[in-house]
Amino acid sequence: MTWTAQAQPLFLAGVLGWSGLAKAIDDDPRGRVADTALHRLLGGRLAADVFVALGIGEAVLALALLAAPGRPVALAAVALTVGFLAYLTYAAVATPQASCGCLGKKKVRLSWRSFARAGMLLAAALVTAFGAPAWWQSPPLLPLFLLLAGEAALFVALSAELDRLWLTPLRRLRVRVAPPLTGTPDVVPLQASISALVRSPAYRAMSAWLASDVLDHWDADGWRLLVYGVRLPDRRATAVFAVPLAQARLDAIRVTLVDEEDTVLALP
Amino acid sequence: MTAVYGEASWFCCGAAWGPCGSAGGGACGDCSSSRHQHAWPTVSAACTSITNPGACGVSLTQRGCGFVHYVTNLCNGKEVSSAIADCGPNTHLFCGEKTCCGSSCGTNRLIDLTASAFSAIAGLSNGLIPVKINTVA
Amino acid sequence: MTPQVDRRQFLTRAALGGVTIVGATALGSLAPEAAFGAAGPAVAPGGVDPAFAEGRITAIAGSMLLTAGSDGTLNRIQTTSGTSVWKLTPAGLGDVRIGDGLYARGVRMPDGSLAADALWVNIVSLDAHVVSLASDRVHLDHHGSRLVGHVVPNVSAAVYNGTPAVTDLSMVPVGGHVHVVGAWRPDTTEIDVSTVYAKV
Repeated sequence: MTWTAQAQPLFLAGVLGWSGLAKAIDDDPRGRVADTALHRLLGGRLAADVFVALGIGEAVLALALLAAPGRPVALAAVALTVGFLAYLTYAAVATPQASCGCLGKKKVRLSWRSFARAGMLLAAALVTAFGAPAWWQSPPLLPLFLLLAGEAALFVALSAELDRLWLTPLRRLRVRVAPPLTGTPDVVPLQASISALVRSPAYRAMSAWLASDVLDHWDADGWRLLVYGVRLPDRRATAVFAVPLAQARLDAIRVTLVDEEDTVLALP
Repeated sequence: MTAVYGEASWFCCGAAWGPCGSAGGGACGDCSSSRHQHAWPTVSAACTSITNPGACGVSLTQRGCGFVHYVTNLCNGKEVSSAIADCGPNTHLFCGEKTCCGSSCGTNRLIDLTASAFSAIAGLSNGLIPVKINTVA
Repeated sequence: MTPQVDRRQFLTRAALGGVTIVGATALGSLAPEAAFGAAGPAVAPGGVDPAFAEGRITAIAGSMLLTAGSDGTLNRIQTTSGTSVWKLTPAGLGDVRIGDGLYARGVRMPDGSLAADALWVNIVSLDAHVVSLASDRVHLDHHGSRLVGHVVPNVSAAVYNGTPAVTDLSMVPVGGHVHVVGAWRPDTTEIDVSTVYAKV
């Protein structure tokens, strides 16, 4: 099945051409390499220059793979893809938090997908170097096209930078079809009561004196009681806020002050 | 600068426990959760290109590291003074987001306070608060 | 009946009516200016706040917590019955563990310890990109690192466009950006979600 081998220089040329062009014409190469392992390896300005030069090299190699796909060009592709794998290995060891900077503007951390993708390119380059007749030597067109489409799909699937094109829409569809995390409609989460409380006149009147965050809370008779510590000029006290569980006007929220002897204090 | 109204969040910076353990010293190199500091979207031209508040129709004066802002919590009137120590928040990712206390609202994520600065004006369990940001007390 | 239940019943009656107000002792002014005046000297902008402490708990001795700050600072944090403890929800000192991270706010004492008014244990506040939603968790990306956000039934809530919080997280936008407050599970890349703030 020599036609499968004939597909590889086409696949490589497509990937390298697209990736190379994107690097070569990037309007902010310094910004692109800022969070990458390349920046760590070479420093800001040199990393940006190498980034652009690499892009030009990839684009030229892509053209050569199409126009003159002999063994020397193929071996250059092998060297380039071995270089990719070496760079990824360095990045994984030296800067595991950094982005690869390999494809597209999106910054993604290295993972097994990055290595699998580089391995895929190396395999294609090796087949090109040692097994592929020239791609224009009458391959069967439909199988060739299907194989290229399959390889492109696999390349996209291994590219975390491109997840927004297919994986994210798929995840959104799944959520739309079978929504997870729908919660419990009858439950009023504590955060809802606290958010209402901090916007209420009662809270605002006391807020300068509140010393703590929520000390205790419980529900009673359609209300949620929230307890805070208070530091008054002459004593410590407790503020008990009563927040209606059902949605209500903020001025329905009440506050009561109780001192350390459990004396309920009158608010002035 | 006339006062601007927006949303404030809080973040951790400096060497710290938890998911922000790799946050480093921030863009200005000296950010710490224990200091009254904040991240500002226009601390530098490079920062502005990332945070892009203009995408939300917000124009913020570029201010360098150490510049002091006065931040008032619109829910309780408490104020804290804080110095710029980092770049952020990513304003353009949250355009139009609004948080209100009564009729006082803050729109767009404009400032990220350290935990110590935020807790001086609100409880840390509040993720977002509406604030007034001024250059004078 | 436990003392806690007794106290809750008393405070409920006090808050909702049914308890006679005893001793209208002069409280003095409750105007905010009086509180701010009593708060002590203001912290210089950019300065370290003496009323604040941060670190991981290294020891628990009764009501005293010993912490090691991320910058090497050691703190002794004294708690009382008036100290609030947040650990995903309002909790007690008994829920605090060695290895927990915390932020504390209180009053710095002459002996250098911090008399804590509020502790926030393992609390995190971060912006994140939503990768996907699963049946009991949210997968997040925070500055390029993956974070698992566990959804706790009846606790985890979402705030959509500033509206009241709800327990329905199904509208958290996959592929979108959110702000998350949660409780870190120490020494993991996982958190328990308290609140997700999303614009939808």
